[in-house]
Amino acid sequence: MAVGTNHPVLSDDILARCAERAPVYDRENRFFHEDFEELRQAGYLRMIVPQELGGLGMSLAQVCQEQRRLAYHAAPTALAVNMHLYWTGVAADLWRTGDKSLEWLLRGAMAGEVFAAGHAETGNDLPLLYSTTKAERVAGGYRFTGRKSFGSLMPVWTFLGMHGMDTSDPQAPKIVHAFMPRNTKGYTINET
Amino acid sequence: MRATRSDDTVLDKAVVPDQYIARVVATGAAGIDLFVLAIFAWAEPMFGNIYYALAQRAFDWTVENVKKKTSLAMSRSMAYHAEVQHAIADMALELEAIGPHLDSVAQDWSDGVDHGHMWGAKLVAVKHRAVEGAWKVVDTAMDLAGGFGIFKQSGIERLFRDARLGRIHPANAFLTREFMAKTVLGISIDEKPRWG
Repeated sequence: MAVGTNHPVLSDDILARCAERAPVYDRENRFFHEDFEELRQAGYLRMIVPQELGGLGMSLAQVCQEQRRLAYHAAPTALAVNMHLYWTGVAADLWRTGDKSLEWLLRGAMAGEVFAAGHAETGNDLPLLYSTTKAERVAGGYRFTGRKSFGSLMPVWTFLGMHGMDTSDPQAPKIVHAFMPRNTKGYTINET
Repeated sequence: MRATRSDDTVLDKAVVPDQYIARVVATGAAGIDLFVLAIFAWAEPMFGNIYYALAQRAFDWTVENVKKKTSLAMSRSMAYHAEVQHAIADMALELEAIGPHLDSVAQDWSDGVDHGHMWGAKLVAVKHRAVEGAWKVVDTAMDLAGGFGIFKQSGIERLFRDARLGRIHPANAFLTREFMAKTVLGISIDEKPRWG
């Protein structure tokens, strides 16, 4: 059993402060920087990383309870960190089955990397499975061109988990799932 | 959900090196490997829990509020009004069902229960039920708050705006129904044309 079972990751004090700030963030229409810092320090962003890699190794069922507690006090904060949490959850599930291809992501989360999600697109009603973003094979990687709609965590992500479609073979189009580092050239963030 | 700071990202020939390419899979349902399915498995129940909790907060606020509300036509608080009781019961009945549904799906995934080809549909279904139910609860909370509910100081106005967004997150109601129906009818998501 993981460490977190009977010990919530977030203290009642942290939750109370998040609840106090939630209406302020809403009124001022700004990112929850103070909440984010408290969550980070409390280990909330590492709770899913397997214990073998230094995390709390929490299961989906356990994390759902944590998210429920946080969302009761500050739903937007829980919603935004959801994006980071699900990426670490995916990586942890694969890792547990012996697929270590995303171990770098789990180690990154331990080192403070923040993962956001860029899946939503205008003109695509089957998110994840298709994409209006073009992915082209280039030497040593893939080149992405398109527009990702409202992705949470914009001010703080260090990797944007996203996807694009490679149609170079029209008979066998492919979806390319990638994590774009923050310092990549060739993208802009447009405030909504 | 304004605090999420959800902006658009415009990609213009952004090159991601191979070390950060997680998967290259087929388009459509044929590309649903564990990587893709696990995205649904973590995102959908967690979305559901967030909106469930939000609805629970609106419910708790409403229960306290109707005990304090009075009416010229009533000798006691609005908690004694039959329609208020009806509405409170409806909210509680919604919430009673959402929590256990979320818990069982999350526990099944955590335990590695094999739902086979139903997993995808089950994951979008639990999110769907949670956010639709949460919206009903918060919408009813707004009814019971009366005119005060629309003022910022009530706090319900913010929960009301936020709760509506649960229905926008993927999978939305259209896609949830398509997934569920095609799954139980044995029709592949990839079959073309999509309908008709």
